[in-house]
Amino acid sequence: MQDDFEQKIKASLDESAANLDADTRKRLADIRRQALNTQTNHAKPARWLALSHWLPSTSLAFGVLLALFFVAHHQQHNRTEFGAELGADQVAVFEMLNNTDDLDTLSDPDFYLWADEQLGNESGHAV
Amino acid sequence: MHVFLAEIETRAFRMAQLATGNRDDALDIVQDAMMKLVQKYSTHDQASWKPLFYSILESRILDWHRRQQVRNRFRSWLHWDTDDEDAEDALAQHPEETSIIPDFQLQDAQFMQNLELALQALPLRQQQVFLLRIWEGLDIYQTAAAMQCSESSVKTHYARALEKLREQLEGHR
Repeated sequence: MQDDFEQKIKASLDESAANLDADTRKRLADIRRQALNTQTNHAKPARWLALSHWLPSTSLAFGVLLALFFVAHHQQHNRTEFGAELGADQVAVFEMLNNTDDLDTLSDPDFYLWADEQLGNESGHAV
Repeated sequence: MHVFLAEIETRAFRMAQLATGNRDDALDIVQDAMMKLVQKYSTHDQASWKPLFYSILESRILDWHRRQQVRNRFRSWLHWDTDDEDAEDALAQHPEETSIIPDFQLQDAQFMQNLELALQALPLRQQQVFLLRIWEGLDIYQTAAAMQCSESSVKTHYARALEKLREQLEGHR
């Protein structure tokens, strides 16, 4: 049983959903149609195409990539006192390699699209 | 299935938008949830669609937050700009169009704006439980199933969320 305050919140939320702009409504309708189409057209992808199949190798590749990046980054900054202490960068790399959530995200192709976009923005700012 | 999806799509979108603060990401999340429901559960009993759909949606929202955390760590690690283009300007989502509407509607608009900010300020789990219970009308058992937590956690999250909202929106009551 909802009190007046809860009912007011519900009514307000209902109104916000009812007043969505036309473009968002259209996109939601498109998404719904697309989803329903998969019901009829859905075919299982080939097993070798499944992303989970590639997860271990992708994670390993990313680990190597991170290590290479780290070495390049280190050389670029010309740190002569190498090995004296673990710097923040090394700690960050180890943290990422030890965190399953991070590895899941790093195995996601979207992450690399995002990173590429960010690098593009960075070089844009630099110019 | 078509009727079911059409009936819940706007609420699902608003929930995802409140959780992410981003329209396009919210649409992507709703799309993923609809696709998975249709592909995996369309043959299930119709009564189970709603809790299943929201279970998928909540899981996608959590994934989104995890990805954002990793991206933010990368940003700070690589000293990229901290301007988050994914997070749309909150003000841009609340256009100033209240000047020509009557007082009672203005109050409603202000309440909605403050409610939205208060909901976004809630911890994610509290926000999700609150919306599933009050808006989608899921019972405690269904909410616990959708959120993959215990029924007592649902009660606690809901009570805390409601208490915070009462505090935040005191002036509107």
